[in-house]
Amino acid sequence: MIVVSPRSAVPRSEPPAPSGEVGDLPTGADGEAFRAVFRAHVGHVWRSLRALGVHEADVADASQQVFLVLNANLARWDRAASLRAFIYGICLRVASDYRRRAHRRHERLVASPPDVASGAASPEDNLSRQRDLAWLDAALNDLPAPQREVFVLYEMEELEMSEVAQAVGCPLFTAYSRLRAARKSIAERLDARSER
Amino acid sequence: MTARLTRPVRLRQTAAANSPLGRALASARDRLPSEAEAHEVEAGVLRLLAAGAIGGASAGAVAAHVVTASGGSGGALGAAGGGAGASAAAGVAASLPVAVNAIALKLTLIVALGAGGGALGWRLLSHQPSASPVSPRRPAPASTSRTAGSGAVAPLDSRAQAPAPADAPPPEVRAASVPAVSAAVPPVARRRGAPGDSRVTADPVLAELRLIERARAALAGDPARALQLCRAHAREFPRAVMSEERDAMVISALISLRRFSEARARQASFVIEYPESPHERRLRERLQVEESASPAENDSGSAIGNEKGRAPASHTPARTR
Repeated sequence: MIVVSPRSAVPRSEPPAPSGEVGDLPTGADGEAFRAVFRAHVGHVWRSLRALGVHEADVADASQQVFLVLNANLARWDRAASLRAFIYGICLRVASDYRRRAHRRHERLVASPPDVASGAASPEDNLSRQRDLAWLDAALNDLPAPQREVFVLYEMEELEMSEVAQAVGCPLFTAYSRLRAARKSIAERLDARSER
Repeated sequence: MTARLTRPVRLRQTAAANSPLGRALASARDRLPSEAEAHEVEAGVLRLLAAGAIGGASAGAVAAHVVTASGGSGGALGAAGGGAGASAAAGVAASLPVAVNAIALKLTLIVALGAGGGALGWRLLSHQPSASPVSPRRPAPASTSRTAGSGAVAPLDSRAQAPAPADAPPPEVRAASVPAVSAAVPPVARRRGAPGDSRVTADPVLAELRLIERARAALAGDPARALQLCRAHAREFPRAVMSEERDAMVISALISLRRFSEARARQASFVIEYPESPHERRLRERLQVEESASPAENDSGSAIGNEKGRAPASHTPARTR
């Protein structure tokens, strides 16, 4: 059982937050620290949520949710661990909850027309990019969630395997075997696709 | 254990850049938010945070909602989530920044309660009625505890003053999901403000926070009272940590009271004092909307506003600028 410690007994030996990190985020009344973290991570959050199955139309709300949960839970972040992995861990949960709800409501779980930024690329180029992305999204959708999470974090977000395990909350070996399984499925799909 | 594990070469490096997989992975990496989208999310988050309380203490309200809405049971409290998970309970106290240490005690207490009391503890926590940043404090009937969170994470465009729009997607992050040891705990603990805990009231920041919280609780139902409390806050805490919060609430209360010219004047100095404030735009917009919807002030006499079912608390006589 958890011991109720008096204030003075709260360990003070916590390592200082790395400079530029969010050590004072929970108390920063001006939100400056929060903004720094936000700017540093909003891209990762957004992108990983998309890869984890959050629909384009919902990704802004889901990202918002991730940062709110982050802010409320920052006290739980073990400073020795990677903040990046901590944030991705929240993304996984928000996305997982999102998929569950979408599933229950029989909503658009299937990859919808992808939203590749239509930059300077030619229309044909764009089209094939969209097709590839739609294919990848569909392939990810078919993976079991634990495999998908590891695959997205390692192959797409390019975390280290230790961070992946931390974010997912599984042993390192488990993360490796999930990655292996996910790669196998993806490769099989790829073969099937090229044979068609 | 990790010694013999080598880092697998990433697919993006092995797949040919022009292969379908290589292209797909590269495209997926480019699925980033635009500047505008990122800004929109940031503004939304900051708005919600600011509406809750100061900085981090605030988001708690939202997280409490998120978890409360989950329908999770007491058992979920014990479930370790990802990340720093396992050590969470101890970690809560250990990694809290110094400034919120005063809260840590109560927080730890409630963690213990939650873990020990299981479902019972959970229920106690989920009954906190004031988890919503703006909802007035009132005893919540047990039956509402699970549904109250439907607007917890409001859509981006929702205003802090009008939470829980009907069309907001229910957040429902499951209890075990939000990093273990019940995200609901810290906010509730913070908001509970256990009376009689002298250690807590001795902390000026907490005392300030509590006054601000009382004002906020009054804001929706009784703006005049909120205004009073804000004035008390200004008197008691001349160098307040939360002066921005307070000034924003004053403006908000003045708008609710239809004292538009005062609100405008306050708003003008607010912008100068806090140019970066996340409240600024919301207040400005609300002032515009409410003022134009209620021409009683501008257009002395006709109280068209009443037709829309809005019952202005008190009409101050029109003051033409």
